[in-house]
Amino acid sequence: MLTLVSMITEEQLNYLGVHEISLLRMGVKGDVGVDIQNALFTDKNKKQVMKAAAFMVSPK
Amino acid sequence: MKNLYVIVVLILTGITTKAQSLINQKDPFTGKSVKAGFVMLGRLMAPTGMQLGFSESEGKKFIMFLWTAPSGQNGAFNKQDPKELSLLLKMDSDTIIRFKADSAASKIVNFGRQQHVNAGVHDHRRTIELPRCP
Repeated sequence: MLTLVSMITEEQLNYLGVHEISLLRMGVKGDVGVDIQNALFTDKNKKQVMKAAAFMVSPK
Repeated sequence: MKNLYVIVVLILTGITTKAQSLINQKDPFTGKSVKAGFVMLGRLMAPTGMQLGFSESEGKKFIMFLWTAPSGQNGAFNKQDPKELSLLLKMDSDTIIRFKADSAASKIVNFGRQQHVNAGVHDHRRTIELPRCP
C-alpha cells in the first residue's frame, strides 16, 4: 500500500478548483513514473477532483 | 505525526463510503476539526484501490494519493526510496504542478504482510516538460 502525502498551498487549491487535471502521474524517479490511465482516472473523476479542491478553499 | 494520524483516519473513511467524499466535521475522538475531499478513482462499483484527495489539519493543507497495490516485499515498489516519489499533475492549461516526496517525513513502514509508503513532502510549483513514460 502506498500513500503519497504532500503539503499543498491555498493558491494551488484555488487553481485546482477551476482547472481540470489532464494527466496524473506518480513520479517514481524524477519526472518518469506511472501514468494513471483514463480508465482509472475518468473524466468524471477529474471533475470530482475540481469540486473537492474548491471545497477545501470554501469557507464552509 | 498528528497530521498523519488524521490523514489515516480520513483514508479509512474514504474507502468505506461512496466515490466522492466531502467531509467537514469535528473528529469525535480528538475533538479537532477535520476537512477533506476525496475522490475514488475509476468507475463507481469498480474500485481500483486508488484515491486522490485533499485534507486540512491544524491549519495545514495536504494533497494525498493512495494506491492499495502491493508495494512491500513482493510489490512493485519493493526497493523504492519513498523520497524519490512524486505526484505530477499536468493541467488543462499545460501547466505542470509537481509535489515531491523529498522531506525527512518520507518513509516505508511494514504493516502486516504489506508495506506502507508514507511520503510526507515539501510542496513547490514549477513548470517543466514531462518526458514520455517508458
